[in-house]
Amino acid sequence: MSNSDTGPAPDPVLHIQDLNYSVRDRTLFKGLQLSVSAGESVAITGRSGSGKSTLLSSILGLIKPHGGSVRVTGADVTKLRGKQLAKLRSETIGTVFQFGELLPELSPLDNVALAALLSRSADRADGYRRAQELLDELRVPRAETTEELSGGEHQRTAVARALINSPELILADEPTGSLDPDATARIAELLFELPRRRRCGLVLVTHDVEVAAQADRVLRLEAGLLVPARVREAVEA
Amino acid sequence: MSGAGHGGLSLQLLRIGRDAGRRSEAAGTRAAALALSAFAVALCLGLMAMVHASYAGKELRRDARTPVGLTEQSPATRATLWLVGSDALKGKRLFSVVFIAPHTSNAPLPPGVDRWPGPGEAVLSPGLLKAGAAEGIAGRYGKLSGTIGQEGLDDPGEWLAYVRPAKGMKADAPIEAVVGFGPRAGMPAEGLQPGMGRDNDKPEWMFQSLVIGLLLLPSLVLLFTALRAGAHGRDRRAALVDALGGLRRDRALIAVGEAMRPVTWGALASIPFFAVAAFVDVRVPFVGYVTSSADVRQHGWPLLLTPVAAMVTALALAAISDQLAGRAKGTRPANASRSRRQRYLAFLCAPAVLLAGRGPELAGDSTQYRTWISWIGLALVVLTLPAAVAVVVAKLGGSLERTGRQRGWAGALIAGRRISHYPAATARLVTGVTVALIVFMQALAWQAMFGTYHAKMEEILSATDRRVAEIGPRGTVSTREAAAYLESIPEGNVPVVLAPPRAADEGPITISGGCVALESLRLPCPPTPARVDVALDRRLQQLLQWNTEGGTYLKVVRADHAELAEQTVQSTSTLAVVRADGGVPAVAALKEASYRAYPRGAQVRFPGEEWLADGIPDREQGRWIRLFGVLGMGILVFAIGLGAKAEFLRQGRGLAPLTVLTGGYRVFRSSAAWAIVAPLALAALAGCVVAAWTARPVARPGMAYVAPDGLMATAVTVVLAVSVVMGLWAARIAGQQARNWRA
Repeated sequence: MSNSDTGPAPDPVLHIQDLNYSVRDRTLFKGLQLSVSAGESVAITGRSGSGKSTLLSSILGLIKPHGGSVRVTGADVTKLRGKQLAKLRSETIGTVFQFGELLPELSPLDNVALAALLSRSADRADGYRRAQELLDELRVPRAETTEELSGGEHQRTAVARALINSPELILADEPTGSLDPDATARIAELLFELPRRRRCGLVLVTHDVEVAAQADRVLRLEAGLLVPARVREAVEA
Repeated sequence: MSGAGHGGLSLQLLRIGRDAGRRSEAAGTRAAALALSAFAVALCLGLMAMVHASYAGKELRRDARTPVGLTEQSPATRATLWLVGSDALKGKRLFSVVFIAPHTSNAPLPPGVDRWPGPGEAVLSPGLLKAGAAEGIAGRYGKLSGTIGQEGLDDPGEWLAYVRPAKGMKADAPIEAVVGFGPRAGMPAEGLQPGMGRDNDKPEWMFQSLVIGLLLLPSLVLLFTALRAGAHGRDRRAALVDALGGLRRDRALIAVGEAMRPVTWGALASIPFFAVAAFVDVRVPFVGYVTSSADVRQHGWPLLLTPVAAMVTALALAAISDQLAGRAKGTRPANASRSRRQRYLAFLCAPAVLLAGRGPELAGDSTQYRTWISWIGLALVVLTLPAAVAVVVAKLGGSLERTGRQRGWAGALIAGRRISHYPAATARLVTGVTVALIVFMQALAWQAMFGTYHAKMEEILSATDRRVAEIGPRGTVSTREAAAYLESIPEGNVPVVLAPPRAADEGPITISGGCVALESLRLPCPPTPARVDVALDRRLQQLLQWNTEGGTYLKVVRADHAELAEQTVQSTSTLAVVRADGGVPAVAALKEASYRAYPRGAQVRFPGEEWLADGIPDREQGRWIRLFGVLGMGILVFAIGLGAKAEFLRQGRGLAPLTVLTGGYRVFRSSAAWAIVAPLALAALAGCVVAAWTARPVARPGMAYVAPDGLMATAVTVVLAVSVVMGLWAARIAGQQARNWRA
């Protein structure tokens, strides 16, 4: 990942083309297109069940679309298998899940370091040091287990885990869905700073108007396509 | 916790797994279950190594004590006279009594005998001395001159006697001259081999099959159940690791790290048991078999590997069971996992049951192939049953959920929802019960197969009252020896001699004896031979039934001992002894007397006893099955209990918030009843049918095992009772957790 603000425009970190996917008789994506550049944030809104989380799953390669391509830093996720896909997920993509999805039996430090360990990057031995630095930076207190953390601390730990491998693309699925307004504001601020500070792309799925409004672009998932939307309109839809 | 000093990736993942194992849901229950199951697997593997060591050691010692006969090529400078006979303790199996005498100076001694017993002396095995103490076995064959060393015995508990007749032996048939023992001395003569072990012991593969089927399989079920305790949280972790870019290897390492500590402790805990077996001859409870520590030391080297093998098995299964969790399908927590693989496995269950129940018929009368097909079928049933149960349970759970919703039954709604969305937990519970029933029925069927013959003979012979003893001298005896025997018959016991008709099927059957004996048998004692037409005493009926054919009437002849001695030496006559007061003859004393009077003693037994004795080894082998069956059932019941507790804890945690909606605990009881009691009740019924069906092939050719109705009813009742207890237990745990949640 480059931290430079100058130079020629880079290739998009995420490029989705003609994505098609349906579940039983329900079509979720019908030729869906999306391109996200490094340093750019995109908020995706839409009705419940419109396929927002499924879109993130497609980007992660957790589900295989029926057509189209999903390129992350140039690599087509739909064509990757096994180790290649795992490498892309761990090194290139950072994910923040709705409820954090931290492992309750592990400490916050272990949860964050685990992501570093799972990536096959050269500096994995340094994972614990970097994990602690990130947790300190995000003001997550030290704890034996994640059950000792508040909702906001839980999500900040999840953000730290998403950042530990310096990903070029961050996916966030309803990251503030379970937080109070103050915590929501802090997490949103933290997330939307990332593209600017770390030159990565951010795709954030949310129902929260205030959160979506902070993105560079707001798109609404509707009838299997992503369409530009004014924030209020998109969320109210 | 510091990140400094962390090792390589693998070590760190193992460490993360270990930490996760300490803090995860039901961690203590899972760790205890894992340690116990690893211990059980290590014990089973060690037992298999011990069984192999025992068979190998026996084979070597049997070969080493097999005599080498004198041939024209053999140097005749040293030879021993040798004749193998047999004897039995009351109601016990036959054992070898070998008559030996030096034929030349420096005659070879059989292994385990370090010096020649004197004329009229005997050397007995320690096991025989102990078992026959009540019958005075030490003096039966003459003066005891020592005991047989272990190197001359099949196993430390073998019954064997070497007897040197007081009057010596002649090198006439059937007595053989042997020049040595074992392959080193020449070509062993298998027909002269002492001991009954080779005839009585089941083949090693059959014994190992029992260990595998009745002990190892339940231990592996316990292991798998332990690994899947609290599986929901573990499956979520696996999915998350997958989503974060972890490989299968990473997941496996975490799973291994989580299981490693309890598994290691459990496997290591088996070492003291085998250390004892390597240095002490252990008497196996209930069976009475004595293990040979020498065999364990010499042939049981795989024992050293069994803790490691148990650890590897347990950790491999931990990694495999983690992979079974499947991969992440989305960015949200997964609910039900009804994979295609599970459905395929479920469909395979019915053919597997069919194979286990009917497949052995394809092998005809070959016991070995029948058994293997049956075991393969059973293994497939056990493998596919959880999937089949999960599919059925999920369907039933959906129906229960709908019913609960329609009728407003909160318990049914909650239980139905949980069962349909997390069918695996219920499937594990139901499968555990069904497999336990299968093990139970198999144990019964195998024991029935081994014990049927003996039980039938017991039934037939029970009517005889066993109040008459037949005495059959071994070899040719003289009138003088016969007279000496008759004189030595203990007081209160009186002899009679039964002689068949002179012409085949025609003429009288003659019974001769003194007046006391004849009157004891409710016969007249006429001064001259006379035909009798009275109702026969039961003892006499038995004697006639087992010893004579044909005969048109019974003739009674009054005879003194000298006349009886004359008749006894005729091979067609039968000497019998009854008590004058109608009681049971003193068999042990009669046996002992026979060894004083006759050169090679006599067979002393009640009519038909030889038929009964034939079934005794099988009956005794059947004890192993009962022992293993009971142990296997115990292991499975423990597995079910531990698995259930882990599941109840999870269910209780899920239900705890309901406490704010209701003041009481009725909903916990009703949901436990639907979620636990109902599936287990179904398992009791279906499990009994499957277990009985799969036990059918365990039979002698043409004689299928049919589980008795009473037994089936008892098994169903027990499982129903257990299900109610488990339901109450689950409700109690849920109630406790609700109280804790409120606090």
